[in-house]
Amino acid sequence: MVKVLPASRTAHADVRVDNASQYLKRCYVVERQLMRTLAARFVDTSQWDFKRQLSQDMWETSRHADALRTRVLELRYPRRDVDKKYDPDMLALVAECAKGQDSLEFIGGVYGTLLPELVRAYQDYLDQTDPLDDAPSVYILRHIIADKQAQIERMRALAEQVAPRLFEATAEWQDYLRQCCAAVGGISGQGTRTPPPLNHSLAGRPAYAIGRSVQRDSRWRPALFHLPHENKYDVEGRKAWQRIEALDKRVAMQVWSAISHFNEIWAAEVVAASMWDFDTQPWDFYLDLARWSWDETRHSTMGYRALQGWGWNVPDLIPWGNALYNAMGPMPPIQRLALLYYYEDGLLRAGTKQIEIKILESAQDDGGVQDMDFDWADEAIHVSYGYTWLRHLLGDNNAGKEELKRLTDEAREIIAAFVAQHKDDPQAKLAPYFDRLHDVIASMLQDIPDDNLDVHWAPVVADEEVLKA
Amino acid sequence: MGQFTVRLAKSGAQFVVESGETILEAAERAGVLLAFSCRGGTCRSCLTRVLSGCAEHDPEYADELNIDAGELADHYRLLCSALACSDIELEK
Ligand code: FES
Ligand SMILES: [Fe+2]
Ligand SMILES: [Fe+2]
Repeated sequence: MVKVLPASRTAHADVRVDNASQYLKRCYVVERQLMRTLAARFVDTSQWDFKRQLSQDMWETSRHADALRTRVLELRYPRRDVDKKYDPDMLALVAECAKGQDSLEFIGGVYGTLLPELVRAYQDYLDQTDPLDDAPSVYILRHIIADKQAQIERMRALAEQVAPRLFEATAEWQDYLRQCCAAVGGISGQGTRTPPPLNHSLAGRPAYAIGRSVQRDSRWRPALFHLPHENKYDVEGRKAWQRIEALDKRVAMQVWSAISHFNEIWAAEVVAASMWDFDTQPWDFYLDLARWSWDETRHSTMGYRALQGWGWNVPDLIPWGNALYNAMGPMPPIQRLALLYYYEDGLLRAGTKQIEIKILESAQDDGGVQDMDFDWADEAIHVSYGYTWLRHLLGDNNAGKEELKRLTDEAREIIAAFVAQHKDDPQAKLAPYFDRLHDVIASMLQDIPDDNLDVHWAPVVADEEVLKA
Repeated sequence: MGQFTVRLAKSGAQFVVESGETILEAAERAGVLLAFSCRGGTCRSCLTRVLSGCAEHDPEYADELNIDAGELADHYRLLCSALACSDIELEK
C-alpha cells in the first residue's frame, strides 16, 4: 500500500494529449481535403451565386484546416508526420463527397451531410474535453463550429432562391454519404461502425476528375473575351469601345475596371485548379493559394456589384469570357501558375493600379476607388505568393529562373495561338456588347466639376504583345 | 549620413532622400510617381536597378526580402526597403 490524496476532481480518462491530437488530426485531414475539393468543384460550377459561395467557403475551410493543424502540432504530434499518415477513412470519405454528379448534388452532399457530420464531431470533442486544460482547442472549435453553421445556413438560403428543392432532390446522395460516414465510425471515429454501403444505388462511382474547361453561368451569352485588349483581331470591338472612351476617359475607366474585375474569375479558377492538381505540396502552399483564389473571386464580385450598382442587367450587357481559363486547359498546372504570375507581376510593376485609382478618384467614384484600392493590396500579396511558390516548384536557382521564363514564353504563345484560332468566332466579337453599353452609359452621364486631371490612360495590359497587330 | 539626391535616369525627375528614409518614402513625399504596392519588400513592384551610387536594404529585414543574390549583385534594389548611402541614379 502507498499513500495518496484523493483526486481533486474527476476527469475523463480518455481526454489526454495524444488522443486529442489524433482526433484533431483526423478533422484536419477532412478539412484539408474538403478545401481542395471545394476549390475543384468551384471551378466546375457555372451558376454564379453558388460559385461565389463555394469559393468563400473553400477559403474559410483553409482557415479551419490551418487552425487545426497548428493545434495538432501543439499537442506533441510529430512535426514530420502532420502532413503524412492521413487517415485513409477520412480521405475516402471526402473523395466520395467529391463525386456528386453535378454542382447541385455536390452541394447537397457537402452542406447536407459532410458539414453537419463535422459539426457533430467538433461538438462531441467539446463535450468531452476539459475547457481549462485544452482551452486553445476549445477556442478554435467554437469558432469553426460557428463558421460551419453559418456556411450551412447561407447555402440553404441561397439554394432557396436559386435552386429550391436542391436538398430534397439530393436526399438519396446525402443519405449515401451519411452511410459512408457511419461506416467509419463518423468523423470522430468513435461511433459504432456500420457496414459500408457498397450496395447503395449511388455507390461505386469513378473518382472525381476536375474539368479542363469551364462554362459561364447560362444567364450570360457565351463569350470568349471581355475587353478588346484581349483580342487584337476584334477591330470592330475596339472601335465600339473607343466610342465609350470618347464619352470621357473617366467613364471608360469606371466601366473598364468593373468589367475587368468581374472577369477576374478565371484567375480564381486557375489558382483553385492548382490546389487540386498539386496534392503533395507543403501546407502553406494550399493556405496561400486558397486565399489567392478567394481574393480573385472577391475581385470578380466587386465588379459584379459595381455593374449591378449602376442598375444594369449584367448578363445582358456585360461579356463574361471563359477563353483565358479554357486556353490554359491543356497546359500543365505549373505553366498556368507561371502565366498568371506573369500577368499579375507585370500589372503591378507598371504601376497600373496607382494610375487607375487616380482616374477613379477624379471621377469621384467612391465605390470604384475603394474596390480598386483593396484589390491592389490583395494583388501585392498574390505576386508574393507566385514568386515564393514558383521558386519552390521550379528551384530557387538560375535553372529555375530559366525554366520559369521558358514556361511563361510558351504559355504566351499558346494564348496568342488560341486567340488567332478563334478570331472569326462570333463569341469573340465584342462590338454588340459595347454598342448596347454605350447607349446605356450615355443616358446616365452626369456632370461634375473638372479637376483637370490629365488622363493618360489607354488599356493597360500585362502582356503588351497582345495589342500589337 | 545626411541628405542625398535621387535622380531618375529616364524621366529626369529628381528628389531628396533624408537620412533613415526609404527611397520610396522620399519619392512619395516629393510627389514623384514610382510603381509600388506592398511597401514591405515582398511584391517586387518597386524593383529597380541602381545605375550609380550606393543604396542598401534596411538591415532590420534585409533577409526577408523577395530579391535574390543575382539581382543584388546586378545592383537591383527594392525601393520600398532601400536606404540611400550616397547620391544615386535609378534606371527609371
Ligand atoms: S513595394 Fe512591394 S517590394 Fe517594394
Ligand atoms: Fe485580382
Ligand atoms: Fe491577383
